[in-house]
Amino acid sequence: MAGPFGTVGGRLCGGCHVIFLTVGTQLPFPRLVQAVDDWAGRHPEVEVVAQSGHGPKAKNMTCHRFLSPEAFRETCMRADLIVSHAGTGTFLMAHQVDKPVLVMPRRAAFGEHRNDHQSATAAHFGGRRGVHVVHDAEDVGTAIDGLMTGNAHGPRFAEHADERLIAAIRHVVFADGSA
Amino acid sequence: MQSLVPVPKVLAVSSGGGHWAELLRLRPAFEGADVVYVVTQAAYRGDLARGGRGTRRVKGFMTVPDANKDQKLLLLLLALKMAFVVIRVRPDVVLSTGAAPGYFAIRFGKWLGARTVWVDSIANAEDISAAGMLVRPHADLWLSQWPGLSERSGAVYAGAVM
Repeated sequence: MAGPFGTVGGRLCGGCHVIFLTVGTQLPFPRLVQAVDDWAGRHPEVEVVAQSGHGPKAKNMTCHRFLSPEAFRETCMRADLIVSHAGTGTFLMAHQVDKPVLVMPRRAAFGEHRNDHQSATAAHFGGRRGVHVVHDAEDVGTAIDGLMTGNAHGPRFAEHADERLIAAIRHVVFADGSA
Repeated sequence: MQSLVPVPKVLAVSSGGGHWAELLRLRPAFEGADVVYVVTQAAYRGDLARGGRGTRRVKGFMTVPDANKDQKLLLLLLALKMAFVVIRVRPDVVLSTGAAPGYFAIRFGKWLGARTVWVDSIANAEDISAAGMLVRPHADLWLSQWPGLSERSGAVYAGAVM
């Protein structure tokens, strides 16, 4: 299975060799980090880079506690797949660099966040092209296998916020109504 | 008719990560105004060069320390720096997508007579953020990006940043 030109998920994986895992910088997310680290252990031919915040160190990935915005963007561009908690910044970055994203929402029941808002975020974006959602750590590896095709696209959003939202704000910015 | 009225000065404030990304997507709302951006990291300055509408009249870029509600000393430093920023910029409008930096900017801006806008992050689908709840009485326009949450909380809903 493994080796420099091994197959991943049954596909020849010639040019697709980088996964970027990000769980933000504020809270640890060991459930996802562990799942991706396990996958990385089974796939030494794939480079896995992680911004893993204050979580435990992983064995099979290059872990950074915090990446600068430039390094974050560069790593996203270099990656074939972005794996992440369901943070809004990740969806936007995946859109900007046109890379598919696999997300697993943080759960309050596991002490991963204050509440389950990431499940709602994941549901909101889940139907889009380029956005894949898993809820159980056991499903992470299979999902990565299916997504490492190397030429998938990222989510597509409009270039800016909804026009209605922009209009509502402009009404306050230009209080005279000239907008 | 815009040439007949003074150009409003906007202070656009956020902490890093998703909050900043959301703020950048609101830039068309500032088109025709002068904008000073305030964020928690100098490295975000480069983002202002990217994007189309609303990107031209960047009048300033300033940084403040980041803090959350459990970091009392950092909160104090943030508040002091933000007071300095607001007094120096004298904005007509203060807008924030969160979190703690936006709270202080809106409080201080309101004291100096600015119009204020809070856009609660799209990350908050179930409850308004802690900073959003605290800033509510001081925001002229208090927005949530989720219709259901807007209904429950009394926030205005006018769509989302994405």
